[in-house]
Amino acid sequence: MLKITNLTKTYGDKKAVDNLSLSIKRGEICGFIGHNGAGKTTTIKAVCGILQPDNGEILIDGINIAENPLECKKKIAYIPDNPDLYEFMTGLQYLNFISDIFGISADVRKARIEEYAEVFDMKWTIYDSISSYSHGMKQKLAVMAALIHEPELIIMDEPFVGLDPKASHLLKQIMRERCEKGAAILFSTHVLEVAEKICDKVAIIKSGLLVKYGSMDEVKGDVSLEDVFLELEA
Amino acid sequence: MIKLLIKKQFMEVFSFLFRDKKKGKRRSSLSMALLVALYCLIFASISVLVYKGAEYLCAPLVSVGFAWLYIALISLVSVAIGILGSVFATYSSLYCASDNDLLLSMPIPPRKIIIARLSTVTLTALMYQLVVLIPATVVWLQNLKNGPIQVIFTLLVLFFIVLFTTALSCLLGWGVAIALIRVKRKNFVTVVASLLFIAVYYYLYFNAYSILQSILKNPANIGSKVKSIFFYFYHLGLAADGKAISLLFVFIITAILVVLAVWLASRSLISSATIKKGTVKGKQKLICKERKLSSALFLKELKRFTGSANYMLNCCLGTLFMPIIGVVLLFNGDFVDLILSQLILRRDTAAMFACVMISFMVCMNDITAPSISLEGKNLWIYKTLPIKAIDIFAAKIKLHLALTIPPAMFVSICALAVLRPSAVMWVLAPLAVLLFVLLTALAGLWLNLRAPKLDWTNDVVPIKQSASVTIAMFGGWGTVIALVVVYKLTASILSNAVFLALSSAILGALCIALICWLKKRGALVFAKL
Repeated sequence: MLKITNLTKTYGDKKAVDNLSLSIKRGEICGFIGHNGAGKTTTIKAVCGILQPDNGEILIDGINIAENPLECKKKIAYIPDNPDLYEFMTGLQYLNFISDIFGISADVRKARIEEYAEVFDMKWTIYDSISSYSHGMKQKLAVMAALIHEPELIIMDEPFVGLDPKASHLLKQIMRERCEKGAAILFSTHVLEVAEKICDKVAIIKSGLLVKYGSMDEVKGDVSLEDVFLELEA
Repeated sequence: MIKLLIKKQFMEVFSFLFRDKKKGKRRSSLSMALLVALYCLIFASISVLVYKGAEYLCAPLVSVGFAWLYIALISLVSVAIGILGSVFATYSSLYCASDNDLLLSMPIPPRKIIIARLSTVTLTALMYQLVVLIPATVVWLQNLKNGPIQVIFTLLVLFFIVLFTTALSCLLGWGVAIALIRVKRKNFVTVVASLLFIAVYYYLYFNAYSILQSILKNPANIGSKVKSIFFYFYHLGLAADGKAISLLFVFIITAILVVLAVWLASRSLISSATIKKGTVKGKQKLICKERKLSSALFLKELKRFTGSANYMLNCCLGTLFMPIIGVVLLFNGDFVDLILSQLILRRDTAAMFACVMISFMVCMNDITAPSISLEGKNLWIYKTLPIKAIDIFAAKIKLHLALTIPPAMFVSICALAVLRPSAVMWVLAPLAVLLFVLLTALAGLWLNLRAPKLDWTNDVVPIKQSASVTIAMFGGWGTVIALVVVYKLTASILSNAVFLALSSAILGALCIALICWLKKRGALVFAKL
């Protein structure tokens, strides 16, 4: 579903991402771990089409994002770490806007909005202006907007930050359900326990370089993911 | 504790003198001195104008026994200016201060927070009021007849004026806080209030002399109106003239108002700090309406536009002025005919100049010029969605056209109806204006793609302080002026109709060139943002 080959991105003199390659199949959840400034967000933004890499190839379901960005973006959903949403809209207006972009019919979007609003406890707050939302509420709305068009590839940058325990638990459930239906998920996180629990694959990045990549069992072996990470950071 | 809170407030208010917020660095001594000098210069310039007006008014009123009227009018003006200058600052410093939650969570009585904040409200109002009070008081003291007692009473009156303004500002600030919590479309309220203020300002500016003259011609009539409507100010005037009873009355009213203001503000501070703004009360119905991509994008641009008072006020004044000018022209057709006959101007030539004036007004609308910058931190949304850049551009251009073409066509038709040019001008003049509107829309977008400013925290920066907006406005004027110069140079060779047709062709060609650029290069530029 996602294949990154030799991805390189440089900012001035600094190589933010250096020759990174990884792939994620349908039904897999891949955790992306690294220290602050390691290159996780740069990689994620390149996959979403926000950044243009200096080198390398990104294929989404076999389609090159550089050559056919629109087709790729129809298949993906992105949830940033700090969701800056349209503060001049209400939550519902934003969801309707996203639904219009993806051409979701009125009946289908209504059913999905009702379902997700119930799940994320946003049943009454979706009518409020986004400017009145807390960080966690914006995060939930961003998740709802990402899921509403049932994407095949979900890319999340630290999705659990700001979410209450119930919402975190629900999000993990939804991630698993999506993967069982054939979607693939790539998400970055600093919460290694969550990654250990739900990820099928893990990629550890350090100063732009992919230092460890593989299935969870391959990467961590008998020790905890935290031990692996700290050893690599040493 | 109050001293500490007041000190913190003053540090906050005067931080701009010591720190450059844009660069985040401490100002140099020279920079501070220049800034202070600039404010002093502005203050002095306005004070000189006020002094001249006060001089014109004071001596004649004193000589006919209406000295109190002079003080009453000066007080009214200074209170009005003080409130206008401080009421929104009062609202934001009392109810929107970012440290309200922090201070309320500490063992500090709300009353003390209010008093500390009111100290800066008083200072803000005073800064505006002194521009009027200092020169007006100097003139008053030059015309005094009753010696030291009147001087003391005058100084006390000035003190009460300042307190009265603070209290009234506080009460109105509370009113603003309550209103803004309940009002849905706050931005429209801000826009309407700002436009009303501009209208009143310009009315007073252009009629200042005639207003002063009418006061001097009918002091008794004006005096009785002031006495009946502004009783407090009537007594302020009498108190400054030496009447002790009036001074006592003024003192009592001012004290009541100040106590009321502090009490009300203290009570409302907690409730307003805990009310979530932007929340909707009551049950809502889940409305999910399906729209086409182009409509969805246009609606988003429209919401962006109406969601910002700054955007509406600074980028769309032409939409307001053009219909007004159109209606004024329609009602003053005879006057226009008179001007034309006196200038011996042919109607077709007059229609050309009407096009020029309308084009200048069109330049007041620069809706596309900050539109890319305004995406700011939301740009990731567009960049991760399956939307072509040209569709995004089309939505922004459509908004500009939707808000500019109708008023531009309206004023064009009104002008043509009054000027009654030849039939061919009825076609060419609106066409030229239409193409100019399209050019400003396309050029604004082109400029903003070339020079975007995405890292702003306050939307005033991309709307008022960006290169694209400045160049769009001056570039628009420059284009019009260039066409006028060419017209003048070719007046003997080309007829009005031919020149207008050629200008339309040039404008059309520029529009086509910009559309091609946006489709090809523009999309690439946008992708790299």
